[in-house]
Amino acid sequence: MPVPPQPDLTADAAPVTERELPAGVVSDALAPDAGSDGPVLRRRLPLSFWISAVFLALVILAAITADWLPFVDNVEDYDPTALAAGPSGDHLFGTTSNGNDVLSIVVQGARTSLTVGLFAVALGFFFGGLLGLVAGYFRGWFDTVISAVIDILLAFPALVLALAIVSFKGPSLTVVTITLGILAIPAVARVARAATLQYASREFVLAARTLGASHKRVIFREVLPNVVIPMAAVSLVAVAVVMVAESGLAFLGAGVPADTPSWGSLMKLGQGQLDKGAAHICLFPAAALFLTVYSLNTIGDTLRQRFDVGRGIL
Amino acid sequence: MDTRNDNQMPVGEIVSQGRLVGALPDPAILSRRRFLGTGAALGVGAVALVACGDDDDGGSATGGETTTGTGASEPATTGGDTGPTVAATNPTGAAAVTTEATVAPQPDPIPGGRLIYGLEGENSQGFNPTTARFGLAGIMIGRAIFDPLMLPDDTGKNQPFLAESVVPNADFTEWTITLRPGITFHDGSPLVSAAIKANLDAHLASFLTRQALLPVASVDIVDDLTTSVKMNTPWSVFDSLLSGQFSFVAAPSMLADTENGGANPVGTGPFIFKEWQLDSHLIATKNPNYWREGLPYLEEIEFRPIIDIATRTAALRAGDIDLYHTNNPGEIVEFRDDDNFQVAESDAYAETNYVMLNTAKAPFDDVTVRQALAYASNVEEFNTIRNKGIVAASNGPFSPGQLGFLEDNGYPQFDLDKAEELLAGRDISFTLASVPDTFNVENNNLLKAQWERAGFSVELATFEQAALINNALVGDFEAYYFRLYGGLDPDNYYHFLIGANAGEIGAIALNFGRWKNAEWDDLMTRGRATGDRAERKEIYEEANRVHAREVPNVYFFYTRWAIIAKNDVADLVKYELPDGGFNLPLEIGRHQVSQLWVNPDA
Amino acid sequence: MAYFARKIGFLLIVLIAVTFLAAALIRLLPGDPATVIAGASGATEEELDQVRTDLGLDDPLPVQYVGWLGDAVQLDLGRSYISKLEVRDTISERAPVSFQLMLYAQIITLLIAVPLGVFTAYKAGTRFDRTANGITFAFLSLPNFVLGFLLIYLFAVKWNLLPASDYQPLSDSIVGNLKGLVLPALSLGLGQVAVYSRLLRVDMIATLQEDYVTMAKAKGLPIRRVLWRHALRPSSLGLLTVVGVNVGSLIGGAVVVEQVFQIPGVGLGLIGAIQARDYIVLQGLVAFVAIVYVLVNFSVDVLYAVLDPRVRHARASAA
Repeated sequence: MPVPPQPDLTADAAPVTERELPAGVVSDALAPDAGSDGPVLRRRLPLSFWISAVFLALVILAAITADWLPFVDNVEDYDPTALAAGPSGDHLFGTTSNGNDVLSIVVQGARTSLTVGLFAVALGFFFGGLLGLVAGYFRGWFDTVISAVIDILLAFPALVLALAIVSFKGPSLTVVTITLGILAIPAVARVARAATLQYASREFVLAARTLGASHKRVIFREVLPNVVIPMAAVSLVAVAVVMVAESGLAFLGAGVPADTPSWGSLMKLGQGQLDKGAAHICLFPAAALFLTVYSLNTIGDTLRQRFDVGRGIL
Repeated sequence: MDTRNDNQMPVGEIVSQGRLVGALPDPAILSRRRFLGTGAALGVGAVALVACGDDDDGGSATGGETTTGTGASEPATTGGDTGPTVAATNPTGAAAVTTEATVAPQPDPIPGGRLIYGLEGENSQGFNPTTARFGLAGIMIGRAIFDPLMLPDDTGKNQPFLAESVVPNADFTEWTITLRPGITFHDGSPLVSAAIKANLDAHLASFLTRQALLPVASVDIVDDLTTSVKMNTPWSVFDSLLSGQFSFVAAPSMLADTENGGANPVGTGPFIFKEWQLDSHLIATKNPNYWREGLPYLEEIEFRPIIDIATRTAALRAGDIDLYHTNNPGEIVEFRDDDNFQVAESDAYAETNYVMLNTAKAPFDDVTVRQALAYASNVEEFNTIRNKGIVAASNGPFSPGQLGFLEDNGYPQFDLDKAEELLAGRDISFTLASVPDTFNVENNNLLKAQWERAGFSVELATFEQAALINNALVGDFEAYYFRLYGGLDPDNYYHFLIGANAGEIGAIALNFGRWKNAEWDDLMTRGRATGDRAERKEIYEEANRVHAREVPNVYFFYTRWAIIAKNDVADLVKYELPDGGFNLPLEIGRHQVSQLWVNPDA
Repeated sequence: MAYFARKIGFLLIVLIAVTFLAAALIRLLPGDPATVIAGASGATEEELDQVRTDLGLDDPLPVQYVGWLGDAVQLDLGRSYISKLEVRDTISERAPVSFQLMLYAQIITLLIAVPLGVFTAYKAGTRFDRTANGITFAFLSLPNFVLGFLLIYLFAVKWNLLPASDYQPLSDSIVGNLKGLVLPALSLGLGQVAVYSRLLRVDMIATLQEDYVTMAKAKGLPIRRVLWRHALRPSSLGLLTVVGVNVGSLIGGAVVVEQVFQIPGVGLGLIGAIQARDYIVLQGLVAFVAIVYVLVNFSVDVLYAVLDPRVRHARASAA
């Protein structure tokens, strides 16, 4: 049986689960003169969590309502009197070299980036999670085959796969999303498999089996809920990774279509202008991407600490 | 994106990097350029306009006279009479340009040194001129390693270069190429007519280049230095092809090595091929036995493809490279104002940027829809926004300088009301596509916005190049942003635009847009059969009007090419022809390198 | 050694599957080498067919593939349809370039990420932790092509310290090679700092709670010694795995950086082969990337066992 590296399982021989340690506790305990407080088990969620959540909510709201927001131009609108102009009263984020309003593209691009990020990750986690779950639960030849397929996919240059799919189907938002989702499957499957292995041999699972519960019931009622929690935390970081990956595809000409605003293609457009006095074209979408990614990560971190998901999963 | 620059085909060509176009350079800007002082540089602007403004200039020359190459060229420096003509036909200041040309002495060239030349793309098919597609990058490298049979003088006429003469018979059914004596290839073998025959025969057998040489019936050796090329139909402008890819004379030993020949080019040129690493560099060293006394000046030249435009610019500024070529208006404008660099520009005989329409299917099988699209295109705004206003609007496949070019050929000028009138409330929707690089994508975004104002519904799409060509070949498209190759003579793209090459949709056709027009076909066919310049001029002007009326494509601008160099690169574009006179610099972006030298005092 | 025999068998399966997948995928794309070479130049349908016949593209895919495989095992990877260069030479030219770039990028990343991971674990939840997190995430969310060009602008154009684009082989000049690859390696590596350091941080935090660490601390060992000597090694397994996986993806997937800096590596070769429909070059390069991936991960497995005895036992009992 092939033995792929399994960071999550093998390293996790000593279980570090079922603790709810808020951030800071560990280091407090370790710090030379700390520890007098003792762990506070039910601390409130930190402020950074709420700031991040509010920012994300705003981004999502903008993505949904972009078409009705008064300050957002249509994709077609351009201002021939302001080409590659810096931020001003008329154009808060400045304009592109075609005279398009950068703020409008950033707001509308949120829709693309979030769609790609959320749906690609959902896709990757659904199929990857299912594969990993089944492989980790049943073990045996089933596991062998799935693990081999996962390894083959990981050994295949992701770029080739992405370019091939996008050129074959033509670049559309759907195709780009599905492509990035497919690329996420093997990695997710591996994480899910590791997490499943960890739980599949636990007492409560074995107990359920002995009591005569069906495999289906055990998987979905006993194992899945435990696997979903760590996966959910990881998925938030995955959203970030996928959103950055979309910009890479845009750079290679395999991004979303030309008339679909996206942060990736806006950054590509602005890249050549960074040193031409029009850095804003690139920097505003970069900032939007960073803040979104950072917020997702903050929320992911907080949740991870809550549920103490841990090791080796990123 | 486009890693390698395969997109520059000999004739029909896809716009892939930033492509721009242009009219005459602003004289105020030109006057600051030191290289302009030599005079030859100015041929560019002057020539482009002379041909369109002066009916008599050179018009009486027969094919034989124009190509014997003994003093037929007239450097722009002495062209006192052309100046006023130019100025009269074009107010952009060509006269000032010609005047400027007469000043500024250059110091004597100092041999030695090494230059690194940045190229906009890689010539990834190798360097066998009979089997590889040469992009502009390939033409530049080709001119360093091979020699062309002919080179255009500064009036745009091809003059003998490697050949001593290229002469047609009276009815243009036979051309005689006579070589200069005593020239050897880099492998030591002599340049004789057998080599010419080997090259031309290889072209005639090549699926890549054969089509452009269709009228050629046979190639025969007359004596050691004389080759006879017989035509099956009269072809008066065979020589106009002999400064491009068809003209490079490769050593027979290289042609014979079908496996390694393409990666190890052997020619008679000023530089000897040393090494080539794909996507990285090509190095060539000085040919000590070069047949042109004193040339080249450089000990070594390195060509480096740098595909990312921003990186290419930075590489020049950082000193990684010494000079590069570009057609990106942003870069040209940026360096025009920079005293640390020199810029040579030209749009002579340049490629036309246009949107190719598929006239074999709806909606563009309807001429009124095509006309409406042309009326809906605000070309001036397009060129201001996309091209920094440094290019000239184009009105058809004929570029300034070429026979047949007309300032006013009747092509629709921007008029939204007319566009709406022609559409008559019809709901026309179509997809505009291109290769996915930023420059094209932004072009298309702007066009979509313009056209939708007139009531069209436009979808945008991008395809990588192989897919785009494939779709174009079989007619599976509605509108593509394309670039038509320029040429010294309108006949050079004959086979890309005639009805005989417009196949059914689904079958391969070289006339991608599948436009068929009997009048056009007849004119284009007559144009290649006669050698009378005045008659040809009339024929092509009529063809131009037909084209403008039928609007098979929508036109935007002529590509403007520039060489941007550090100040110590001397004689950037001044290149004297072997029989006197100067080479037309940067025709269709092509650049000579053997005259370059490094001036430590600059 | 049944374990090694299994590994080699697995390597062969992966290689065959990956190259066949590549061969099948690229043939799905519109256009083929014949249209790329000759399509827009006036070739007729018959001539294009002739080109296909000459290139051996007439046969069904399995026949073509088996033919390729037969040659490949004799180390004959064929010639590019487009440039006519030998694929073997292409790989031996591009592989060192990508390998050096990968190596420099990994070194840069680890040099920053390991200390950062250790200290952010130690200082978890503090302002230092949050600041480090923010900065590393800023680099992670900055696309390669933006970061790469910012570095070019600062280091090459503004300060003129390093070239914008100047790859030199190690054999030509060690200094030149380093200078040409520093900026590309930074563009690749800085983003990964977030991944590596966060990973190490999480594992470190867990390790720091283990009994033997607490004991070491209780014995009065200096905290630095506890961190570096006792906690780092057992915490580095997850990091090691990701570093291993990244070797594969950096060798074949650094195409954006290779393009921005015009570095003639494997990634640029892959993308060029896809675009030119150069099937045979693609198959050769994909096979190379897959071999690297499998071998590196195999080595990581072995290293794992060396670093953590528990794995050895687990494997022994699993096998």
